[in-house]
Parts: sequence; C-alpha cells; structure tokens
Amino acid sequence: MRITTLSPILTLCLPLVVGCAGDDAGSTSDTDAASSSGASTTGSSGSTGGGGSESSSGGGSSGGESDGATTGGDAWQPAACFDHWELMAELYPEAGALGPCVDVPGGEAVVRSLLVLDGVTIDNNGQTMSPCVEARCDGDYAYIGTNSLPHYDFVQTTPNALVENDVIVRIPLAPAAIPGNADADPVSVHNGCSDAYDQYLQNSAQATTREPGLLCMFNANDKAYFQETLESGDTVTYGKIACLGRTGLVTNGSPVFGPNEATIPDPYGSPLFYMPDVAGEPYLGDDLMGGAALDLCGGHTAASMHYHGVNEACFEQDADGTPAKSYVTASQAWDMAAMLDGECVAESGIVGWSLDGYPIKGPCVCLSRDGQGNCTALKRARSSWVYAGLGAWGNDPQEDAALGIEGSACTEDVECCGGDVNGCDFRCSFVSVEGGGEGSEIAKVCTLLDYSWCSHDFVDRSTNPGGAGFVYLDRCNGVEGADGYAYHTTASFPYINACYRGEPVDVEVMGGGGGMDPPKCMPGQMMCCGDGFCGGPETPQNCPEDC
Amino acid sequence: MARTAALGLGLGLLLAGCDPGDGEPLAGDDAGEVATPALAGGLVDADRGGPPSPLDPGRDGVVAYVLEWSWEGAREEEGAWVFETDLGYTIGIEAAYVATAMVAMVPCDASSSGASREGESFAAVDVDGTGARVHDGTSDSSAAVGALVEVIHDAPVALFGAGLASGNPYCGLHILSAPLDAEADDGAVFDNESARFVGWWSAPDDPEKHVLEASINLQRGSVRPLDAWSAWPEAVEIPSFAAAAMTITRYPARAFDGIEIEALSPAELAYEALAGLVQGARVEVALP
Repeated sequence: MRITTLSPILTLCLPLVVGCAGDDAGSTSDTDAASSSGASTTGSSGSTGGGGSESSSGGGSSGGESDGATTGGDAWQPAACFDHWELMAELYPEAGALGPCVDVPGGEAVVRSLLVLDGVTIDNNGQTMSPCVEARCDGDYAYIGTNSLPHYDFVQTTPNALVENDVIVRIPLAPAAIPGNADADPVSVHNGCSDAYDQYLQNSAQATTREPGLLCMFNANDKAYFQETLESGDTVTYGKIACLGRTGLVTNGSPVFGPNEATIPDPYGSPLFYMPDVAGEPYLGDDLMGGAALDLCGGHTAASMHYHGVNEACFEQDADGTPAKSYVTASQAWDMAAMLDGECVAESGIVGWSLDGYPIKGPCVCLSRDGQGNCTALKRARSSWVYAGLGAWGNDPQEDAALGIEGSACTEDVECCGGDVNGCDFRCSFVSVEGGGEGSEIAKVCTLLDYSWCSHDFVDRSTNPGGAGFVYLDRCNGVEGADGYAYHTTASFPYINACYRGEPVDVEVMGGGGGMDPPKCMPGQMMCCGDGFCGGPETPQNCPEDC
Repeated sequence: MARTAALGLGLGLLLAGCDPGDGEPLAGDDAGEVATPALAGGLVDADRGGPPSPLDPGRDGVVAYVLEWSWEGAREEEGAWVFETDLGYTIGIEAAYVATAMVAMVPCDASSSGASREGESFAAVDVDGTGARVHDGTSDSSAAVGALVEVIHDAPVALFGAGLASGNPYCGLHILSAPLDAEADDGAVFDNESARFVGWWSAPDDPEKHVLEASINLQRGSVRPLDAWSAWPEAVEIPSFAAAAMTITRYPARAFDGIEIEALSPAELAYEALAGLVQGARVEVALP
C-alpha cells in the first residue's frame, strides 16, 4: 500500500472543532452542473401529484428513466401498503368508517396526489426498505397512513439514520379559512427579534439560541393565531405553524417542516441557506458540520425524514402514480435561481398537503382556465417574504461591525465572510429582496445564517398581485388559483408554508415519543441564572448568583 | 452565530462510565494495544454480533479520523486494479477519486447529542411524534469537516481531521461525501464532483471490454458501526493528546457489487459505486 498524506489536512488544526479543512474547503464555483447535465431549469416540468392538475411528465421510474405520461391515467391504482390501520381506534376514535377516498368529495384529490409506492424499494445504506403511503377517507378527513420513508434511495446528509416512522396523519377534506379570532396576536409580536438583534451585537456567540420571532409555536398542538389588516382592507387571521415539527406531509408521506432548523449550528436558521445554488455545487465547509444539509429533494433525517423545502422534480409521477424520476435525475433540477425566477412552462401539481387541508403545490401557479380546463394564466409563485436581515431590527452604531455585510450583493460565500467561510455566520444566498419595479426582485446577497424568521420580513402585497411572470403569495405562502387556494413551494423563505390559512388538525403523537432534546449550549456558552436556558448573553456580570 | 470552541488541550482521557461490564475480551487483534476494557469501554462488536456498547472518549477528548483504502479482492494488472463483482462483472479501475466532506461520531442516544455536561434540563417542548427530538444528532462536536479528494487508485492513508467528543457515548460514525471543487494529490481536478471512476468493465461471460467513465455530483453518506479495535494508526501523524483514532477503511473492489452496469447511466453508475464506498466502509477504533 502506498502511503500518501494529503497536505491540506495533514495537520490537525486544533483547537478548531471543525477539523482541518484546507483553504479550498470553502471554495465555491459558478459552474452550472445542472445545465451541463441536461437538467430542467424551469422547475416546472412536472406531473406532480394529481389533484386535478394536468401536465406532462419528465418520465421515468424510481429505478430508472422512462417516458412519462399525464398523471392520473387509467394505469393508476390507489396504494394499499399500510399495515397499521388498527391504530385508528387509538388515534382517532371519533373517525367514521373508512373507505376509498375516490368515493368521498375532496378525497380523490388527496389520494390521486400521493405517490403510489407499492412495490417500490429503496436502499438505506445497504438495507432494502419499502416506502409506503396510503390514504383512506371518512366523510370529513383523509387519513394518510405512511412509514415516512422517502421514495428514493436514502441520501444521508446528517448522522441520523433513516428509520421507519409509522404514522397516520389526517387532512381535512373541506378546508376553510380561519374566521376572525378575537384571541389572535397582532403580527407585532414579531419584535422579539429586536432582543435577538441586541444580543447578537453584544456577542454573537452568546445570542439566544431560541426562536425569538414568535411567529411559530414551540408546542405543535398549541393553537395560536395572528391577525392583520392588509392594505386591501381585508382583515385576515392565520394559524401559527410549529417551529419544530410537522406542518404537513409531502406526497411520499414524509413530514413537512417549517422554514427553520433548530438551535445548532445557527439558531433557527434557514435550512436553504446551507444548500448549494445548483446540483453539484459544493456544500461548503461547516455547513455540513451543522448537519443541516438537505438532500437535493429538500429533505433530511432527524427522528424522522422530513422536508424543509421541495424540489418539484423529485415528486413527479408516472401515469400509474409511481415516482417518475430517480434521485440522480431529479436532483439535477436543483437550481435556486431557476426555481426562484425561471419561466414556468407547465403548471405544478400537488407535492404535499398542509395540516389544514389545503394542498401544497409546486411553484408554477395556474391562475385561470378556459372552458376546456386549459390554463390561461400560468405564473411562477413568488414569496412575499423578503430578506431584510437581522439588522432590520435596530440601528445600533455597532451594527456595521457585526451585521454590516448583510444584504450586500455577492457572488460567492467568501465575499460575505472576510475570506474564510468556516465559522462565518453569513452565506451568499439567492433570496427575494425588496426593490425593483415590481416590488421585489431575486438577488444573491449576504445572508445571516441565524434566525430565519427574524431575518425575513413579510411585505403586504394584497394590492400588488405580482409582475408579468410571477404572482405574489400571501403571508402563508399560498394564493387563490384557478382550482382554489393552495400553498406553493418557493425557493425563498418560507419555502413551503409560513402559517395556516385554515384550521390545522392536531398532529399525531406516535412513532417516536414526545419530548425535546436537552439544552444545546453552543461551544463557549454556559448555563447561567438557573433558568435551564443556555442561550442568551448570560454572563458572570449579569448572572453572578449562578456563574 | 459564530461557532466558538471551548477546548482545553490538556486533555485527559475521561473514560468513565463506559465499562462494558461483562469483562469479555475486546474484539479485534490488537486489543492488547489499547486501553483496558474498564477504561476504554465497549464497542459495537460486529464480529460477535453482540449488542452495541458505547465508546466514550470523554468530553472534549480529541477524536482523529483516518481515512484508508483497501483493495482487498483486487489485483493489479496493466495499470489497473482488476476485480470481479458479485454479479460477475469484471472491472478494471485505472483511476478513481472520491470527495469526502465530513466525518462525525454518532451518539448512541441521538437525543444526547450536544447536551451540556451539566445535564441540565430544558424547558420541555412537545412536538409531534415524528418531529420529536427534531434535529437530534444533526450536529455533534465530534464532526470534522474538510474538502478532501482522495486518489483511490493510489490507496492513500490520510488524516482527515478531528473533532471533540461531547462527553456522551458514541456508537457509530457518519461519513459523508460531497461534490467539491478541489485538486487531488495526483493533479486530477475535481470540478463539482463527488466521485469519479475511470477504467473498463466487461460483462459476465463476455471478455469484451467497455470504457468506464463515470462521475457524479451528488453527496452520499452513511452511518457505520464501530466494528473493531485496531492498533494506533502509524501511517499518519496524530497528536499525542488525541483520545481516540477512528480508522475508516473503504473497499473499492466491493463498491460495484449488486450493480448491473449496463442498465445504468454513467452518473447513476458513479452514484451507486459511491454508495458502495461509503456504505461498505469499516470503522476501527484505537486508543493511545
């Protein structure tokens, strides 16, 4: 055996926790691997899930590629793979008799949208597993039984193993907007972000590791609402989504999560800021240490596989409802710029369902149809949330030193990090920013990895429907389209949905137990004040009794 | 938030609390060269099929990661590593590369990942079952991050990097490839690639050689169990105060097992072979 030591990593870079990446660890490239490999750059090629949408497919099967066809053809048969329906009695004792969803108003859209995974197997580090998602309905809900596995070979980006997680999630079949609620918070509760701003300026390493914005809920089954009066004059009430936990499910049965990670490595940061701009662009440096990296369909594992974002190509279906593309093929459509601003050529189908019963569709919205059902107004969905940065929450003179780079135009991460991306709080990311003739524009700017909710600002577009090629979404990331209201996935915050337009159902409690992980003090932080909370600028000076 | 490392370099081996308890000998040929079982703790003993028992290098103990290759099962012929797969294909690898981006230990109890040493409790946060412990184990101080393109055909031994043990017991190791722009030791340039294989292949019972040129730009990773003890690695220089060394050996001659080569595109072939590399790795542990 020839012994070779590789110079960039030969020497332990102690005391760096993140090891010894060479100088090129943080290098980036503008090479467009996606285009070089023939990837779609529209992000809208798909025959994603049923639900009445009709579009052409890129074709293929989960194990290889084949010519596609329109979703929902005669070859389709509903899945029948879930073996734990007996749990219904425990989880939903009030449920009516379950039957085929195609026989129930509203049920067909649900069941036709789900991937048919019967007989599909995936590789999980050498172990063969069988993903499963199946729907049954009573008169009020679709009950979706699933083992929460992805429909493609496991792409392990975190240390968490892929495990089956048998759950039954129910989705209201007749979703309705939340009526006015006297107990709703005003959106001004968001200003908890001001405290995070102050803490960050004092000591970025000691700033809170909690989510300070309060626009999401720590207890997934607590009901909380907020209310606002829009420029249009409408007063709307929304439900808060969980900060951590299921907000819906994608059509392979895996959970949808919100637009933030947890406390580590960058507290409640945006999962998408860790991602490459295009398939094949390097994941950078300590992005990977955080384990926040998603696969190029938008998911990763924790206690369960879950999705923070959606690459629509991964959820395209063949005529029989089976997955149309392998991961290798579908992943090449990961192209942030195209997903944000590319021209839509086909309307998106359903890629998931929110817990309030509204569908989650891909990014290309059909706004109207002719008498034959053909789409006559197709536009790309654009989030009304813009990147404003944590710096938007104050005007401290020290801000320039700590946050001055925020929002600066950039092309590579290194420009946001003074030359060294490792340990740097910023990334050069594609986002939507305020400005431009149509309200917002897509730009690549330096973004703070922390506090996804605080660093984005919702801009009321209720009197500005959008531009020539795009339509603005509401606060929750949805819009009233030709077939009714739906959330739409976007490549900028909140990626899937930021709130509930309708009343969400309780999430199931099974298959993993409850509770939350113990405190996660960042290296260098310490527990003070006896409050069980290791985030925040708690020092011997302000907490002498404990420190 | 800037990550700061509170690291004391006067690191002792804090190995309390990991006595395997049964007094059985450690697996591996070099058990005698490592700490006693009472100090070192147990490991996942794949050979014996026994239950996993944790490795605890102590809080802030330095864990070094050594990457190795084994061409076991292959022979050198005319500038290529030649081997047969389990499906009967003959493959000759003239050049092969893989990009590795992260290695991290995996806590036995994912919920303990990152927990503070005081073991203090956190305000309970109830989330749904599938989301409970939402991102446990997605981050661990033991992670080493790098950007390494290894020249597989040269079978290098490389010190990838090091991390700090969290103080919680570990039962596995996670290795992750990633697409990188980097230059390998032999001068090959990786342009947004995570793996590349160059050579030839022939089908079962057919001597005709076909060109093998396969490359993929996707990441692939896996969790590997801690298989066995080994001697302290001598092929690379590891600081004397390291509390443990993990040697991760990949077996390229097994990476193409199970693959029907002609049925896959070059990208798919590289992706599957990359999976075989990371998923077929063996992890050995050594204590000084």
